[in-house]
Formats: sequence, structure tokens, C-alpha cells
Amino acid sequence: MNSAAWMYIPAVLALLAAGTNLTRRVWIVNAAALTVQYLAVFVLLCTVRPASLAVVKLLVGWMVTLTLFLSLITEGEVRKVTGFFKFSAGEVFRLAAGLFAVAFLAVFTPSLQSLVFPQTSLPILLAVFGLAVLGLLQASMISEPFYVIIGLLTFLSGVELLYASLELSILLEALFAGVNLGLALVGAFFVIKDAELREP
Amino acid sequence: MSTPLIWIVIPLGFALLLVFTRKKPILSGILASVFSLLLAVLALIFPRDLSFLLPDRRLEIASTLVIFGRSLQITGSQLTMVALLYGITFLWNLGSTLFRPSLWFNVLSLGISVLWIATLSVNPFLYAAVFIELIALLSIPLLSPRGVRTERGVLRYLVFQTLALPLILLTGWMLSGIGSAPSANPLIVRSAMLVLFGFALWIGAFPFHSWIPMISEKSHPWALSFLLAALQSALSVFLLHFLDQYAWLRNLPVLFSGLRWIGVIMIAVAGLLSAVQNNLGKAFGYLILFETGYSLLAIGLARTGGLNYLAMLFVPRVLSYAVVGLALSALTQHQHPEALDYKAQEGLFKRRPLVTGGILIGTFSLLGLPLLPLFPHKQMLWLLTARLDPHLLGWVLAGSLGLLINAARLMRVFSLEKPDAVESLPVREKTGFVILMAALFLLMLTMGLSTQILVPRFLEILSPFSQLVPMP
Repeated sequence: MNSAAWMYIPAVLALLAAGTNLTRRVWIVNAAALTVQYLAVFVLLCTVRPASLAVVKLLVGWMVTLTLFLSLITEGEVRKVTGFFKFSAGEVFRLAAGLFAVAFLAVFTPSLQSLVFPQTSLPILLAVFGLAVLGLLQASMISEPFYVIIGLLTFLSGVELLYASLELSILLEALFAGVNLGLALVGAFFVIKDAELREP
Repeated sequence: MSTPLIWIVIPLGFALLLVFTRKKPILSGILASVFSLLLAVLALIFPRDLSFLLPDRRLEIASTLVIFGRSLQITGSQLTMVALLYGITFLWNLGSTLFRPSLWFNVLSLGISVLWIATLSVNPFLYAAVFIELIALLSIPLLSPRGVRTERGVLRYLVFQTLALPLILLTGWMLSGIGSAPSANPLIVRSAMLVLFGFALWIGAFPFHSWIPMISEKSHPWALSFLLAALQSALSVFLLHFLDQYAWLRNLPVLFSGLRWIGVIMIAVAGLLSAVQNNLGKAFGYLILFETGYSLLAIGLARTGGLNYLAMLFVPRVLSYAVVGLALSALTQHQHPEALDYKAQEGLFKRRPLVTGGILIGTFSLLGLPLLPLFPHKQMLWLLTARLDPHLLGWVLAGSLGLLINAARLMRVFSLEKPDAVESLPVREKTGFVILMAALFLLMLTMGLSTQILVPRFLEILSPFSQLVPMP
């Protein structure tokens, strides 16, 4: 499939957002990054779907972000951003792991495209595998429930984008929307119940 | 009227109605169990051709419900599996009136059963992967309710179930290009790897099993036993769907031997690891893994008749889980988190003989000891395994030995004398608990004495799989 050069912009933007979520532990930044990630995925989706269908994923994604963010606000978990440019050892490690994974993918995605997914454009594939791998890294490297959920949402964004480029099914779209909202509710549930346990 | 409407849509609506009664646990439990029992009985007695002969006409019930261009289809041959899933829901909802694992247990357990049935009936059936993800999400409040810290096992469970989703979906897409290609086609090998990897993640097959003991140690035993009993039964049947539907998959030369090997390795690993556990919950997790091994072994023996024994294992296994789950729930009720540690069980035989009996009988039943309901079917599986490859039996033996050592350790701990006389006094059990436990013991004993009771009926579970189990 032919791909326009501009499609690399949303693809890279999505990867940057996922990378921010993988690296940083500042909840307000994570919520903002998730918002940008869903926007970038929406732009890429518009190249393979009618905008009227792609916008559903954007709305669901933002609703998911809002649900998570509101649960953090309700529980008073959103902290002030201090020392934004200071990186802990763990953050540096995750950043390095994320960069390595993306570099690895950038090298191997063209051959993967020609072998398995010839109908999907390269920028979309780069975003798909980047999101999936960064999401998985996040879900596996961290034991905080909130970040595991963000990791799974990122992973699913990649999967949905890939599937959208391969096949159109309204039922599957609806089920994916349900899964995303379910994950957000589970994330909010984790935030609320863990906050309750911390209360004296 | 259609079968998906009766066994999927209406129960889903009923589950939503139960939200209003969730704060009345007894009422909610009774409503959910009676409703599930009705659905289970209806599925058992419903005509397999889905038609009724009325005096003036023939009434046909449709088997398909179309949603967004895709369909849910429950044929007559699938109704036995539907009955099994609602039977499980009935039993666990009945037990939930004694031990309230969560405010949402009745709502979610019914919802989860509905989703399992949708999983087995959606067309194209690869979309079932998304239903299974939804089941995982609905399971979270049961495995990690409010007031309990979110444990790593629950998160790992969620991650593994989510990871399996794209593997199965992508297989569906890849399959459209396969058709009747020879099994050496690289696309086929790739698809087979994706499917099997996805299944391994879902069912907790070795080496992706770590989440099962982790959650079984920390979660409520009643909720856990329900979720894993339904998961194990439904996923085994779902794997049969794959094998039956795709000739390229079942004709892969190493597939069935691979399944047999994974099965016996799981039996050995789970059995041996259970021998060194110090927590009853964790040991229960290994018991479940032990049984997953038997399911995979039976599927691996499909060519020599193993599937019949897989189908006949379902009901006795579920009863054994229920007995162990009930006993562990009685131990955890109103007690500290360490209530399931082995060291807390000293003198339990004198204090709570029924609880002790539940744990031991359930374990012995799953081990496949004579007079208990799993014995005849496991004996046949041992025989088939030995005929095909005697080396495999060594692994089964190692696992069984491990489980036996665990049972011996438990008996020793249960029979130890407690130095504190007050703590050694017998505990008065709830009447409902005594009745339910006694009924389960009686049912297990009857099924152990006569293999012809109830169990052969469940061979019908195999009737949709005409490619795997040739019809006579």
C-alpha cells in the first residue's frame, strides 16, 4: 500500500505519546499523552476508514482518558508537577528500553510489511507495532495498576489500528469500544479501591 | 424467538436486573441460582432439532440472532454445553448465599456465563477473543474486590488475557488467505503458532501459568473456583471448535503430540509444585493447573478417543472444585488473610471435620482415586496415554505423586494436636454449608460408584465436532 510522507507525523506523535507514558510517572502528563495518542491514532485511522467511523475510536479514547483522569481527581491522586525534567534511574531505563524497541521496529517493519502485511502502509505498521510494544513494555515493567491499564490501552490502540487496516467489522468495532471502556472502568476501580486502602 | 435470545439476551437482561438486588445477598443469590437452574434444565430438555410439535402446527425456534451483520448461533447440539455453564452458575450462586465473595457476585457471575455462551456461539467465532477479554474485565471485581489491595496476580491475569486477544484475531484474518493450502505452508505454521500461543495465555498453560497460583492465593476461593471452572470448561470446548473447523490445524503433524506433551508437563509441574506449597489457596491453584494438564492431554489423545473422557471429566471436576472451594471459603470467612496458610490448619480435623473432608475429598477426587467420580475417566486417559507413548505416563505419575505428597502433608497438618485447648474446640458450621457439602459429597460418591449417572449425557458436548469425533 502507498503511504504519504505526512502519515509519519501522526505515527511518530503516537509513539512519542506512548513513550512519554512508558517513561514518566506524572499523572497529569500521562493523561495528556494518552489524549494525544488517541488523536494521532484517529488521524491514521482516517486513512483506512471513513472519518465518521474513525471518530468513534477518538471519542471512546478520550472518554477512557477522562474516566481515568476523573477517578484520579476524585481520589485526590493528581499531584503537582515538580522536577519534570529530572529523570529517575527507572525512568531512564524505561526510556532506553522504549527507544531501543522503537529503533528495532523501525529497522524490521519494512520486511515485516512485505512478508505479512503488504496491504498496510508503513507509517501505520510502525505506529501499530510501536504502540503494541511500548504498551506491553509498560504493562510488564510496572506493577502499579494505573500504569498497567495505560499500557494495556496503548497496546490495544495498536491492535485496533492494525485490525482496522485489515478488515472492517462494525460488531468488532463495538466490541473493541466495550473493551476499552471496560479497561478504563477497571483502571478507575483500581485507583479508587487502592486509595481507599491508603486512607487512615 | 431464537435460542440466542433465550440463553444470551434474556439472561443478560436478568443479570442487569440483579444490580437492584445486590445489597440483599440472600435474595440476589436465590434469584440468580433459580434462574440459572431453569436455564440449565431448559437447555437439557430442549428438543435438539429446536422444534416443537403443536396439535395444529410445527413451531420452530431459530438458532441464529443477527447483530451488526455478524451472528450469534446456538444450535441444538450446543445446548449441553450451555446447560453445563448454567449448571456451574447455579451451583456457585447457591453457594454465594453462604459466602458472599463480593456484592457483585450474582450479577457478574451470570454476566460472565452469558459471555462464555456468546463466546462459543459467535460467528465468525474468532470474534470470541473479544468476548473473552470482556470476561477477563468482568472478573476483576470478583478477583480483587474493594477492601483488598490490587495484587500482581490479577494484573498479570489481565495482561495475559489482553495479550491473547490480537493473536486470535490476527489468526482469523490470516486464515482468510489459507483455504485448503498444504500444511507445510508457512502461513499455516504462523497461524497455528498464533492460535496455540493465544490459547496458552488464556488457559494458563505452562509456562504462562504463573497468574493462576498468584490469584488463587489472594482471591476469594468461591469466586476464583467459579471463574476458573467456567474458564477451563469453556476454553477446552473453544479449542475443539478451532480443531474441528480448521483441517489445516488438526492436520499439522506435531499438533496432537505437542498438546499431549504440554498436558503431561503441566500435570507433572503442577503436581510437583503443589507438594511444596504452604498455602491452601495456592495449592488449589496448582490443582486447577493439574486439571488443565488433563484437559490438554485428553485433547491430545483425540485421535484415540480421548475426547470422550474430556467431556466426561467436566461435571465431576466441577463438583470437585465446588467442594474444595466451599471448604476454603468456610476457612477464610471472617478470618485473617493468613487463614489459608498450612500452619493455621493444625488440629483442623477435630475443629472442622466437614471442612477437612471437603479439602481432602476434593483433592483425592482430582487426583483420580477409586470410588470418586473422576477415577473411571482418568483411568481411561492413563490407559490411552500408556498405549500411545508409555514415556508420557511417567510424567503423569510424577505429577500424581506430587499431589499425593501434598494430600499427605495436609492430612498430617490437619491431624496435629493444637496446644491451645480453646482453639481446639469444634466449630459449629452453618446449616446451609452442611447441607450443600453433604449434597455434593453424596453426588460425587454416587457418580463414583456408577459412571452411568449424569456424566454420559455430557458426551453430547462433543456432537458439534463432527470432524474430531466421527458420528456413529
